[in-house]
Amino acid sequence: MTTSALPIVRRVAIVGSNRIPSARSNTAYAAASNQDMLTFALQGLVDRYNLHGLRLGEVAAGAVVKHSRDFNLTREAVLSTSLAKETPAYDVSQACGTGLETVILVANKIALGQIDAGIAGGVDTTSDAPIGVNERMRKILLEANRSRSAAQRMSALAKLRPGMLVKPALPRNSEPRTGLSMGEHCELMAKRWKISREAQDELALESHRKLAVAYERGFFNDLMTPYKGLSRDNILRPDLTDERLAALKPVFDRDAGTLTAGNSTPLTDGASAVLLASDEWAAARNLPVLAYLTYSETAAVDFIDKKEGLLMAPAYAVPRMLERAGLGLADFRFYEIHEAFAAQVLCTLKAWEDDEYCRTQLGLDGPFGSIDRSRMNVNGGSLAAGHPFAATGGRIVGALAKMLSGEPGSPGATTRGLISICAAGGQGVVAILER
Amino acid sequence: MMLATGAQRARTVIVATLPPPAKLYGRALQGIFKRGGAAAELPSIRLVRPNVRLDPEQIGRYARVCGFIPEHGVPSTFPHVMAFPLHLMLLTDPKFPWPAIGLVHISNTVHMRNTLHSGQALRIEVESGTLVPHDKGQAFTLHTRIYRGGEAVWDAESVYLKRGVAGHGGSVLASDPPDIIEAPVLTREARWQLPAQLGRDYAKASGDFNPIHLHALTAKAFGFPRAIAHGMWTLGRTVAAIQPCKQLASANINGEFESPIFLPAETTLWTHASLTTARDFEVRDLAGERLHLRGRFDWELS
Repeated sequence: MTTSALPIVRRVAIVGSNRIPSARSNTAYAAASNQDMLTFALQGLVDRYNLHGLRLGEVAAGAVVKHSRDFNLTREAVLSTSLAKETPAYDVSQACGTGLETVILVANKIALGQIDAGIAGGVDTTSDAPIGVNERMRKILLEANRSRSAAQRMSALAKLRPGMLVKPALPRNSEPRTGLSMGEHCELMAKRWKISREAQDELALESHRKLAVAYERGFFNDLMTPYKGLSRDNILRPDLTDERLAALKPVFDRDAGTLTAGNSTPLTDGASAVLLASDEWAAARNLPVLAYLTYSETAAVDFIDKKEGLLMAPAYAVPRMLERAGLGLADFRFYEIHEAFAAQVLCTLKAWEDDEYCRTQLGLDGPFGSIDRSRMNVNGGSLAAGHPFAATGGRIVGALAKMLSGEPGSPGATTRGLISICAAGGQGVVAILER
Repeated sequence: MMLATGAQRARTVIVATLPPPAKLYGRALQGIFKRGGAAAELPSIRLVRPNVRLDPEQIGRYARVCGFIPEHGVPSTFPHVMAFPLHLMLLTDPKFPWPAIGLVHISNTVHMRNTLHSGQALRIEVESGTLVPHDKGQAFTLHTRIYRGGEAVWDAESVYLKRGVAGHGGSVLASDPPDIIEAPVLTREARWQLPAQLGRDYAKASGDFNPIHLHALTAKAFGFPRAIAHGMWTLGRTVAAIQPCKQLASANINGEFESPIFLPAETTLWTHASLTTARDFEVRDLAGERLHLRGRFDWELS
């Protein structure tokens, strides 16, 4: 941090992280709740860094798909770990940006000296999803609940019909204001930017290959705790081929689409947690510092009136953040661009190379630039690792911090990594890690 | 409801309200019992819908099935869908010599002369052209002209072939186009997966429920092994894939329909940029050997 007017602003260290392997929805974690998975991921982190009985500044975490009973999901999870029960906690929700947003929130408090250490995390399950009762049934039940007499109650309950039981309210992966699913929105983006099916499949294949290699190398050994019989993401297909990807049919637009189950992230269950601290706190406990979180930015786009692509917000957030940081797009050793859909990544990269778009939409003087693809998602991305919505940010921060710590680097030189995550509602959360 | 008005050349029929689709298709199905041989001329009729609104919902359905996006504005091929009921009325007119079902749509050109916006009111005119001999039968053109407050904004020629009827005179339209000098080398641009239900999806979006496109069973009834992709879908899909993601000030599209695409299918799009604002294109099978559609698309950005 460079601000000198506030002497208390401190560097925020990423000490380490932990996650559980990601599981395709309704597979290994079908019976696990958000509470179970978040608790397990947190406890794994506590065990790895010997935080038993410690009172941390705070734990912030969240879930995108949440039961109403989980109103205090994170606090309840903390109470189930061996952290001191005096550790405060709160829930955060910013769609798929949740995980990275929690990291930013905890980091900012550390930077300002409000706390010395904290954990940021996220969890999601689409297997153990909340099923609401049918909306008409819910209104009838509430009416019965309000009734003061037995007769009133009976007349309310008499409106119940058996059909209401078989038509429950399910959580939907669609934008409330457009009615389109995220995949349908991304189809529009892929057409807007003319992203070919082949390019999407190629990115998906690379993602699986790089993740498989990372597992072979043991890269995840100190980033993950096996859970419910899984020791690696079960979405990963090390033997995936381009023929198999090419054979898949478009799922969001069957007549003219290019997004398939292979080049889109599947519904995933998983959890992650990141330990953040001040330099002093880490040093006092003899804990490593993998990297520092320096800059972050969130942005949102108008996908309703201005018809900007729903998942294009990171394209806006990154240039704004780099301008504040005085950096260019080429100044990074690693780029971690969340692969919600292969097309989302490719649209973002193409937008940054487009002179007209950068001038008119991003307010730049010319193209923002290109990134060296060999530095992008080098240990695989969400297409292969899965995307448990709120847990993705923690997965990426943890892995990138480790990658930066493993870089030899020359004395005095800073090695940087860029994180970009798109989120529902036309939002984007981005950050810089450096070492 | 139809009102006949006098005209010098073609008899002009104002179509104030379209007959319900079921009635139109009833007429088309009855027409299959027509036993027309070679015809000397076509009934000279001009069908006019004086005031049709560019309906955003219908545009949306059409755009989606063809792969257009909102940035494209009103797809340049969309007005064909608005004119189609008049095409069908003309082809199923009692004086028309042949059954509508069984005519082969062999080519279509489209000229969009100004940007169209949804909500605008248009006057649509469809008129049959003269009958010309073709080496496989007799061919004729349906001319579609669309006006917006008197301004000629869009027109198209749809060429149909009646197979197996001996034409008069020499061959004017040949099924094989003459060899093009220095044919451009086209490069493969995309692979498309056409699902089995494409014909039904396009029918719902376009209002063209020709049974040869709907289902393998209905297609078999008309001699096709499976349902075939609608040529105007293939042309629309091609334009959507090629067009820059902006509204156009004008567009010229020419498509010649070659071998049918049997659904489900995998096809490939091949293009050559003759200018920055023009493409020669072909839609071929997956192997790139069999030709389904060839043509050219040029445009001006608005």
